[in-house]
Amino acid sequence: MSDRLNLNMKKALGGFTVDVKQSLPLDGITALFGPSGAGKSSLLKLIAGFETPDNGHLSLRDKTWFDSADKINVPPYKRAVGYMFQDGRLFPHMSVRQNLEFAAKRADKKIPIDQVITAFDLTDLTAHSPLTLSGGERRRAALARTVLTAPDVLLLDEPLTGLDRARKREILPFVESLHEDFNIPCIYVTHDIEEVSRLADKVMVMSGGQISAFGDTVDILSHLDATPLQKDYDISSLFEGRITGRDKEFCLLQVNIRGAEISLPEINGAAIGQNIRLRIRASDVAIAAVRPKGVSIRNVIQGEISEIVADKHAAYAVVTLQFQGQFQGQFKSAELRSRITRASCSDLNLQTGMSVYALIKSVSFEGHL
Amino acid sequence: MVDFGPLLLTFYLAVIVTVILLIIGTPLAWWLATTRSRFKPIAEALTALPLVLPPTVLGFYLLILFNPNSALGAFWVDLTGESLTFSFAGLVIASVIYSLPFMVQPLQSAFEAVGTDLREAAASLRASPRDTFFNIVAPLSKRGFLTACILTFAHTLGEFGVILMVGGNIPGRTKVMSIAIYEHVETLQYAQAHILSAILLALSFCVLLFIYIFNRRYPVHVG
Repeated sequence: MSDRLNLNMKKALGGFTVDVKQSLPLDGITALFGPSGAGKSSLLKLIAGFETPDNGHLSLRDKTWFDSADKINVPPYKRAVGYMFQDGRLFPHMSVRQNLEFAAKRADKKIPIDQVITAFDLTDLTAHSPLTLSGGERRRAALARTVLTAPDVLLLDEPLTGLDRARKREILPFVESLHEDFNIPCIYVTHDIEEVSRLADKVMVMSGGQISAFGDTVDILSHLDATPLQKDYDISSLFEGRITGRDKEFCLLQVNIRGAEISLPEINGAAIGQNIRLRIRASDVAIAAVRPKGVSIRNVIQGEISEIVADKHAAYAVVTLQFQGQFQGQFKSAELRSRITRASCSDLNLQTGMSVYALIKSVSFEGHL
Repeated sequence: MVDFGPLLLTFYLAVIVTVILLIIGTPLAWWLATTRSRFKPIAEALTALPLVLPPTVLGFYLLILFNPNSALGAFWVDLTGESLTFSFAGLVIASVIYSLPFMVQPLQSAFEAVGTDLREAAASLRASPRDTFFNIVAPLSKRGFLTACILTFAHTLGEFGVILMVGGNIPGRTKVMSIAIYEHVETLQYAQAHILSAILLALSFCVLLFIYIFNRRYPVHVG
């Protein structure tokens, strides 16, 4: 039985209203995902207590932090919430070590400070002033500082914004370690779909101040197209798969996704039997009406067209295929999206219900499960 | 021969006023810097009032307030057996009110410069508001404290109008430097007036020079 964070709050903010009603199981990393201006940061501030809701209820487990009916409003410093701000917000008049000690001294549960310094690779930086750190170093130090408060839940407000891709890759493992090594459940605000698919166990989608969807990452992201968020992101399909075999000669792995066998390039550290998460971009999927011969593409999945979304003013259409099969002993179906021109759609005379072949040009590995 | 009694009395007064204002001005400035209350503009206007009010007006009201027939004046007489008017205690109270903005405004600017961001960060690390003030805000406002204290001290050294109204000119009790200079001029003792004036001028200049050299960070509104 995991802890739950119960959100039921309303707050009018300038032009729009944050109005959320959701019971969140606190386990692993929950991404709070949505376009900018959706109210994601405002929701974090309401949870932390930096903003006071107009009315509603907020509690973690049996601890009530806000309740308008009972006139409860626990001040931020008495809530066991960690908060990682976009810019880190280290105290400029203290060294990195003093920043960490500030947090450790005030924590209810003690986590050995040296363990955290090592875990976040800060050993050489402890004597430095935060003003001399690089963007990535500052974030690592801020993550370490918030871990030391041993929070019941950690709120991360776009912690990687403003870092380049290489720097992000460097920090991501540290974010993953929050849950894996320190067992702190996280709510992670982002509008970057790659961060969501890489990090999150669950996703809460927010738009216009409301939670429009909540569920497992794979389910939510594969249905994301149904939401108005679609246009902002690369359309893609996300799958969980199991590594079933390995071709040493050609450096390929065989993976079973919902009954379909596909192969992908060798992944370092992958073992047979392991579950992994994969993403296939719609633009990397072509469609053939008959099983193709003499093509270089190895991954071909047969499926039935369940939906064709085409905009008369655009060149492209998005075709959704449904395929099914045995996966981990269960009969499951999955959806695969393909982005092809409307002209091809018309040439092949594609219709819903038609059985076609999807040719998958590339698959990207998103992480182990 | 110049009487240095007024010089010592002036310093004594300035030190006491600075210490008292540090104690009451700091929480007031902290409240002004952090409150979302709708009464904030009223409190700010009241704090700034001594900057624009003619000292004689302030002195006049204080004189009425200190009068043994008024509530405060009578209370003071009951408490100490002495009248507040024409006493050193009256001088201290008057100076505290008169110099209030010189302590509060630089502190408020300094506290505001620290910003809500770091206060939120401290709260997220389980630090109470008091803890945050002493360990985060105050150390980051060091220069603001220095400016506020020096300005308060210097301003108290130079006041004249309020003191003349409520303190009069009693040697050893209320005869501060500005009053002594005034008296020397009145009685045509220009040499003595010169010496005291030169000391006050040099001192004030040194104080301001010190502030401007060491502190260019916080805006200071010198009235």
